[in-house]
Order: sequence, then C-alpha cells, then structure tokens
Amino acid sequence: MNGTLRFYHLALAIAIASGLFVLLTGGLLAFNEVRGKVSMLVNSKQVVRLHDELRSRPKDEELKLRIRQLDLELRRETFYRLQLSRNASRALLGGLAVFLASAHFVRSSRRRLPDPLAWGARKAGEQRRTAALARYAVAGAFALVAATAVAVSTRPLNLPGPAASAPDATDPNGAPHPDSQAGHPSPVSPLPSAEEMQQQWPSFRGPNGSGVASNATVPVMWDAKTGTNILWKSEVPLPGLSSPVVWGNAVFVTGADESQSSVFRFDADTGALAWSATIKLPGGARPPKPEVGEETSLAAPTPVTDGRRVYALFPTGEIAAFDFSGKQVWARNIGPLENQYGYASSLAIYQDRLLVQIDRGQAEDGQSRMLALNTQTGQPLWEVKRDVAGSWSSPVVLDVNGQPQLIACASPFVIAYNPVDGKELWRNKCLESDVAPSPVLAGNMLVAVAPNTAIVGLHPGATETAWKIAEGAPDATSPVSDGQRLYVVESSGMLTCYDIQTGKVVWTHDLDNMFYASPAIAGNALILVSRKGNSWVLETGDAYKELGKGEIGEECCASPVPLGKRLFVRGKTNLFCIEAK
Amino acid sequence: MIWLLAAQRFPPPEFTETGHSLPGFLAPLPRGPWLEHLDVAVLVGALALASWLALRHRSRRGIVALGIFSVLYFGFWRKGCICSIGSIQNIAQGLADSSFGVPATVLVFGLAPLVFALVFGRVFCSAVCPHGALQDLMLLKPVSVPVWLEHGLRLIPYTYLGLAMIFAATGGGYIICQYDPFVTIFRLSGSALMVSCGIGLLVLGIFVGRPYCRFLCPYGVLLGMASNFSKWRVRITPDTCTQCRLCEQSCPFNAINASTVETPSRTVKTDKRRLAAMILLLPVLLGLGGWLGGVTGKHLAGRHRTVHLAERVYLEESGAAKGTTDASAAFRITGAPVESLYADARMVQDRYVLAGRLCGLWIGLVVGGKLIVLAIRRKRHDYEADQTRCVACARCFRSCPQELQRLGLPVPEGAPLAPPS
Amino acid sequence: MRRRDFVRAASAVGLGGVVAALIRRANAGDTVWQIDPWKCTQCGLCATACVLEQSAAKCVHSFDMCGYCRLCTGYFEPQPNKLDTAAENQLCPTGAIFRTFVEDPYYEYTIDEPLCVGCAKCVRGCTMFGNGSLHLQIRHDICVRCNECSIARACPADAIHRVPSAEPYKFKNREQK
Repeated sequence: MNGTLRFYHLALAIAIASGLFVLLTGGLLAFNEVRGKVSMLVNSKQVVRLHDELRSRPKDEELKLRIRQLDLELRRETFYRLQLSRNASRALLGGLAVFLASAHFVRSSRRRLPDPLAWGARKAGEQRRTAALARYAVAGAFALVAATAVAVSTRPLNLPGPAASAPDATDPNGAPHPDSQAGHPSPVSPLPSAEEMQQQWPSFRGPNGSGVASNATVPVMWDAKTGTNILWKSEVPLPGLSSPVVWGNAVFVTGADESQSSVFRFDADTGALAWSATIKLPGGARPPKPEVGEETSLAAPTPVTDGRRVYALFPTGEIAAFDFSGKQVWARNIGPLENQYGYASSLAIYQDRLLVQIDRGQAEDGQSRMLALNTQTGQPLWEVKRDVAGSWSSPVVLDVNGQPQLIACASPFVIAYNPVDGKELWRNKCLESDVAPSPVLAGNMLVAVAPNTAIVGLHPGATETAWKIAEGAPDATSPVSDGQRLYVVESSGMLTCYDIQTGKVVWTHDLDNMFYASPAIAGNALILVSRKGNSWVLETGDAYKELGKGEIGEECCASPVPLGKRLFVRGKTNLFCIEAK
Repeated sequence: MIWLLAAQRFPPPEFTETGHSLPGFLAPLPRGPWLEHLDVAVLVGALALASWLALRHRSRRGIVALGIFSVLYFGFWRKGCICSIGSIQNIAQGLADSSFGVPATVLVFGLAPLVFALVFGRVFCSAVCPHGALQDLMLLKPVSVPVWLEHGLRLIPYTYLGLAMIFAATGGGYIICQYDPFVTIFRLSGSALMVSCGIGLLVLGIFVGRPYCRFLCPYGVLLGMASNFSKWRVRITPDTCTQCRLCEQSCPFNAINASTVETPSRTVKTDKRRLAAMILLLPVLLGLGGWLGGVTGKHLAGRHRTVHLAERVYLEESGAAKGTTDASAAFRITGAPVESLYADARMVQDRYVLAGRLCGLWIGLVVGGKLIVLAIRRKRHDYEADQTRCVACARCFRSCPQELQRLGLPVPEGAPLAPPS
Repeated sequence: MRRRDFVRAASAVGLGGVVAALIRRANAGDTVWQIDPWKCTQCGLCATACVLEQSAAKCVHSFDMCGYCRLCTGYFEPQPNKLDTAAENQLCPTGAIFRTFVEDPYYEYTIDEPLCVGCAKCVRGCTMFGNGSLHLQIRHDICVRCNECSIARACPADAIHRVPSAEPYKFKNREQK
C-alpha cells in the first residue's frame, strides 16, 4: 500500500510537471507561429524597399552592406524558426505522452467503485422525459441548420444568365407591335427599323437629335393652375434634369438620389406610374457619389429606347438596360465619368449599339472617349479615345447621304464616327470652350455651338466651316431647325432666327426669361420652355409670331417632347402631359 | 503586366573550351506501392485484432495498446493521410465523376471498416482510427453530456456528411480533409486556425469523451448505421444481465441504454398519437429539406473553383470590380472566351443544385427519422450497449460483476450475481 | 432477426456494388500531385499554401533549356547593381541558387534544394525574360501526398493535378511547348 502511495505521488508530480511543460512549449510554438516563417522571408517589404533604394543610388556601399546584413538575418531567422518549430513540436508530443501516461495512472489510482444507491432510484417515465427533451433538441438543431442554409442563400449570385436566344424576325418593318406597348418583350425583330424610330421620340431631342416632330400637333396654350389642356400630371419619385423619352404608350424618365439610380415608366394616356426600377450592379456595390453641379443633377443624361428595352446612364457611371416590364436586363459600371460641372451627355443608339460620349478634363489629358455597348448584353463593342476636352453635349446619329454617322462635339473638334465600329470618318476643328449644346442637322447643314464663342455651320465631311456666327451662342441650349431656318435661344432669353444656309440673322426677339431647355418644333410650332416653367408656342417663319403661351407652375430644365397630339414636359417635381382637350 | 509563356529566347550554349557536360538532376520517387499494400494489411489486421479484443477477449488493456499503436502508425508515421474518414469523399467523387479513378488502397480504407462494422460493430472506432484512439487517450476526467443534448448535437455529423458528399461529388474540394483538426497534430504543421482547432478539440477531449467521434465525424454516421445491423456486437456483460446498475455511469459516451423503467399505461394513447404525428411530419421534412437544399446548393457552388473564377471575371467585365486577381489574370492569359467560362460555371451550379437537393432530402430524412425513433415506446429488459453509438472501447466491462467473476477478480459486496450460463 | 439479416445482406451487396463500380478505374493505380510548369503563372503561393512549413514544391532547373547566360534573369534582380553573387543582386530570398563560372560567357546555375522554399521568384524572372528553364515541381521525397493537395486548391492557374505515380514529374525540356 505504501509503495503504491509513493508511486501515486510521483505520478502526480510528473503529471503536473509535464502538463506545465506542454503548456509552455505550446506557448512558445504559438509565439513562433505568429511571427511567420517562410511568408515573412518571401514577402518582406523592407527588402523590396531597400532594393528600390539601391537602384536609385547604385554607388551607395553602405546601403549594400545593410542589404546584405538584412538578408543574412532574415535567412537565419527563417530557418531557425522552421527548425525550432520542428523540434519544439516533437518535444511537445513527448511531453504530452508523459503527461497522459502519468495522468492516467493518477486517475486509475483514484478510481472509486460505483455506488448505485448514491445515484438514487430511477424515476418512472424518465426515458419518456429524456425522449421528449431530445425531440426538442433535434428540432432545435434542425432549425439551426435551416437558418444557416438560409443565411448562406442570401449571398448574391454574380453570374450572368445564359445569353438571350436569337428572337424570331416576324415583322421587321411594321409599326411597333401592341405587345411592346403593353410591356411584354416585343415579338418583332430585335432591332427597330429606321421608320419605327422616326415615329417615336426615343432619345434626347428625338429621332436624329433634331428636336423636331414633323407630324406632331400640340396645343398652343396650357395652364397647370387651371388644368387647361393638361391631360395629366404625375409626380416623378426621384429628382433629375433628364428629359423624357417616349415610345408608343410608354414615357420613360430617370431620377436619382445618393442611394439609388432609377428609371420610371409612365402610361402616356393616364399618367399612371407603371413601374420604377433601380439599377443593381453585379456584386451589389454602389459606386461613389460623383461631384455634380446644381445645374446638372444626379440624373442628367436622358435615357434612350429602341422599343424593346430602355437604356439609362447616370453620372455615377451606372448604365443599365431594362425591358418594358421593368426588369433589369443588364447593368454595368463604366465610370468614373466625372467632369467639372457633372456628367450630362445623353445616350445615343444605332441599331444594336448603345453609344456613350465620355468627355473629361483637357484635350491633352487623353481621358475622353466614345464607347459602344451591345444593347442586348451590355458588352463593350468598341471604344475610341478622343483628343478633346470635357463636354456636356450629346452625340447624335445622323443619316448623311445614306451613311449613318455618329457625330460628337467637344472642344476643339466636331468628329464623326462610324457607329458600327467606331472608325473616325471626318473631323472639323471649329469649336472651343465648354461645349454643352448638341449638334443638329438640317438638310446638308450641320450646326454646332461653341458656348459664348460661336455658332458654326458646316457641311458634314468638310474641313472648313460654311459660316460662323461670333455672337449669340448659347451656353446650354441646343439649336433647332425646320429645314430652312435655325432657331437659337440663349440662356438670357434672346431668341434669334437665322437662315440655315448662310447664317444670316432673320429676326430676333427677347423673351426676357432664363432658358435651359432646348426648344422643340412640332409641325410648324416652335415650343420654348423657360426655367421658370413659362412656355411660348411660336409659329415657325420669317417673323416672330406668338401662337400661345403655357404655364406648368414649376421650374423646368428638361427639354419638351412633342409626339403625336401630346407634349411632354418634365418639371422639377412632376411630369406633365399636355394635350388639347 | 505581360506574362509571356516561356520562349526560348537564348540559344543553347556550346562549351567549346571545357567540353562541360550538362548535369542531370535528381528526381526522388514517391514511396513505393508495396508500402501502400502494407498499410492495407495493417489496417485489416488491426480491425481483426480490435474485433477480437472487444468481443472475444474483452480486454481494455488490449484496446488501449492497439490504440496507441494506431496513433503511432496511422497517425504520426503515416501523418494521418490516407484515412478512412476522408476516403469516402474519393469514393463519392469516383461514383459521381466517371473520369475520376479511386485507387484500390483508398477503396479498402473506405470500405473495410464498414464491412467490419456490419459484422462486429464499430470496432474501427475503438482502436484502429487514429483520431478516435487519440481522443480516447486524452480522456481524463469525463464529464457527462446530457442525453437529450447529445441527441440534438448528433445532427451535426449527419449534416457534415451530407455537405462533404456535395462538395466531393461536384468536384468542389474535400472539406473533411480541409477541416480535419487532428491531421495538423499528426503532421506537426498546418494553418494557425486548424492547429488551434486541433488543440482545442484535444483539450476538450480531456473532459468530454471523444468530441470529434460523437459530434463531428461523418464516417461515424456510416459506421453507426452499419453497426446497427451487425451480426455480433459488444456486450457489457459476458453472459446474463442482472440489472444491477453498476455499469450505468461507466460509459463516458452515453452509449449504454438502460433497461426501461415501467411507464404508466395511461400515456400509451398520447404516445401513439405523437408517433403518428412524427410519421406524418416526415414527408413535410423531406419536402422542406429538398427544396431548401436546392436553393442553398446554388449558393454553395461559389466554393467551386470554376464558379468562383467566373464570378470574379463577371464582376471585372461589368466594371463592378477593378483590377484582377491572380486567378482571373491567369484565366485571361489562356485567351479562353469568357462566355465558355460562364457556361461551365452554370453547369457546375446545376450540379450543385441537384447535390444540394439530395443533401437536403438526406437531412430531412435524418431529422424525421430521429423524431420517429424518439417517439417509439421501447421495452428493454437488460442494460445494453447502444448499437449505433458504442465505439467498443471496452471501458464498461470491468464494472459488470459477471465480468469480474469471469476474470476471477473480487466482486463488490452486495452486487447481484447470476449463475454463469 | 430476419430483418436485420436482410438489411445486413443488402448493405453488403451495396458495398460490393460500389466496389464493382469503381474497381475498374482503380487499375489506374496510385497517383501523386504534380505541377504542370507550362500552366504555372508563378504567383508564389506554392511557398505558403503547402501544409508543410517548408513547402514540398521546389524549383528545379532544366539544364538543356538553360542559356547559361551571364545575366541570368532568374538569378539576378531586375537591374542588378553588379553581376556578382552579392546579396543585393540576387533574386532568391534564401540564396538557394548557386552561380558557377564554366567558360566564357557561360555560367551554370544550380539549386540547393534544402534551401529552396518554392517562392517562384526565380521562375518568374526566368520565364518572363529568359528561356524558362527554371520551374517549380513538387518533390516526392518531401510531399506528404495529401488526399487533397492544398497547393492545388490555392493555385490560381489550376496547374496542379494528380499524375500517375509511375511518372511523378512533369519536367520541362527543350522539345516540349
């Protein structure tokens, strides 16, 4: 008995000692691990820095010595640590084995005989109770597993869906199928024909960017206060200065605030908000808020539609396509787009190419470019660098002698590209300053504006200008032409009519109001909307002739959209539809 | 950064002066195949020995000695790999992917313990599996886990098994190998996280018996199911049980089922209704599990190399992510079209949805099955080792007075003895 | 009893079925892990991803591809200060490459394997500007042959796969591409 007791105390002592040894060695190993071994050597930033320094001062002998010293130290330390790790772990295992052996001996010496009487009698139904508790435990565990599965499922899936299958081409040339107006994907051909586009107002300043709806008839007067000739007025949920675009029965408007960039669809007959869709970029990230001026806003580019989808661009760089039912088809970030007043160029479209003019900085910065995306998938098709300064003008696609040309204005060039592949067709050096107005084509005369500097007329393809007007150039509004005359309204309200072939003044009239929206022509009516919301409807012709006046009762910077019998005007808060009642 | 594939930019040298000949270089061979055969022989031999020790010879000392041998051989010598627990992943991948070959060694490692379990019970766990033997040696001061809690926690190894099968079958990696805590101890190296988990489990194992075996091991699920139908099994008493209760607290793993105490018959009706409810609940659980599994499966696909790469490339293509990672840069060098990558990733996702559904069905089945089993009234006359949970560690034998009598050791006073049969 | 015998028999048949399904392919034999040097992008993860503290992936030199250049881009730093063996000129962080003069203008570069940690800095230099004769391979006297190679899992170029253990290396030589 005494002998066993001696062994017991000895074993206990060994157990405690070896246990302590295990703990200490473990701590040493942990500390060794934290400092890193191979990774410390291979990824040493200090080594990289010193080597760079040596390259800039190749004759520095002292630096060379320092590098050699550091190299030796690092190597020594790494291999020492590796060896320490190996030896210490083996020692730890040995210590652990000794600890276990002695601890088991101690334990078995201490073992007492089981005493069922001390445990107490077994209760009736104890197994039922245990089973009941166990059922709850199993249910609880299942709930936990399910909850974890749900949590895992909230991770966003960042894969594009399968590429859209080729739609059947059944009605390539007809009017838009009624289904497309109802919001279903159009069963007609994937691309609209030129005739289809001409019958709608699919982009900023309408088809061809001309601002002219030749078959439209709009009322000559309206008043939002009394409701005269106001068919409907709907609040746009988010603010923006972009203009509306219309296709059939759908009116699209964009709006944005700091947390979302959205597209809204209104019903042209009733003004009801059919849907609002917010851009969701893959990965769920929000791009940073860009610097925008008060006069540009977070939703300045006007969207564009091809009757199958509506495409919207925002100064954040977000660009997305939505189908007519509001479902996002694709979204990308092509930013950053920032320039000094806030990005404002609207989108242009040619067949399946979505065209984006991104002009920033100074011409020599090389930051400006023209980008084309596939309308169906958003994939970039081509990108061309532009040696121009920042601009706020929108590109237009024009038919010049049967050839489609994408024309973009910025300081110092007017450049024309082939919209299919981005090849430059011609350029004309005739602009300067911050170009905001967009060009218009009337007949064979292309008019471009260099704000506060000049209005120039040139024939597409020419290297010289046909005429140049040195004063009266507006800084924001784009001009409009009925084919013979050119109408230009300056920000101050001075409206001038020029002969489009010669650039000579025909008449002028001071409207004495601030103007930001570009004028539009519907039939033979020239429509102007001032910043205060006052409108003038004039008759196009060789003299100033006022047909009527309109009032929407709120500020307006977006350009008016005439189509058919209606005129759409986007004010600061509301979208108005004006139709003769 | 332009990464060019190696081009032969510089011509081969011509050693005209010294006639120097190019040195060869070493190509050390991997360990020869005969060592693999040795491993298999040792495995089968150890399984046979463990069966004999647990069922016939009934010796705790023998089990401990065999366990120490297994820890040393399968653990520290073979560095814990290839192990039976991980081999089921190879088998799953081999069954799912017809181009994946499973070597014979791996097959034997995976199936031999199951065959033995079908015949003798979980003798693999007792002293052959290095993980189990290691935990067994660490157990110094057993703390009893409440039985009901044990039932709940037992869902974890079933879930782990399901997940391991998903990832192995779809080629998404071997999660059992990635998250094996003990292999870091055997290799004496590993990531800081896994080493800490290993040490943590060992320390836990000092107090809670065999925590990995009971609450984590996915292979244990299969062994338990096989052991349920074994021909011979571990018996606590060598012959007759006298319900003396002396073995009640001898099992640190809650693997002894006591004889049932008489339950009042007035509860029969509620019990029958509950059982019916549990049976009706089973198809609901299956449906819920299958549906949720499919939904989750699609998201689990992100762990697969192809899907992960496709997602990263898509984020870069759409401008949502700037720059490239090593993987996306490596992909772009190959010049493969992005669309084909997306298509491959979608195919992998579909496989994951299917695998997820199956796993969800499995978990639903397990939960439903457990609830049913827990609702069945049982009548047990003797103290028995639980068919599923007993790991044949031989701790309980010495507490039985019949065993002590068989061995010729002094029997505690007052302990009832049955005449030896 | 009979039900248990039945289930046991059915399970045995099931296990036998699994064996039968897989046994044909088991003749493919044992496999080991190896790096395909033509796919490798020299990212450097081999050094830290291995489960062993000093990686089993090490650099090997294909002498028949080597140009034996005086300015070896795998040995020397970019824009080395001087073409000698000083520490500030070498790429290798552990000094595992030895440069010996053979005859003018040829130098031989050999690797001291115990020192190599598999960081691929020399491989990158050699592949980008040289002949690409230095490449990483998994050394089978060190490799533990994990069931799932953790370097393979980390490799961004998916360059590491199982190869038959009878041909455990994928060395580069001049004829291949």
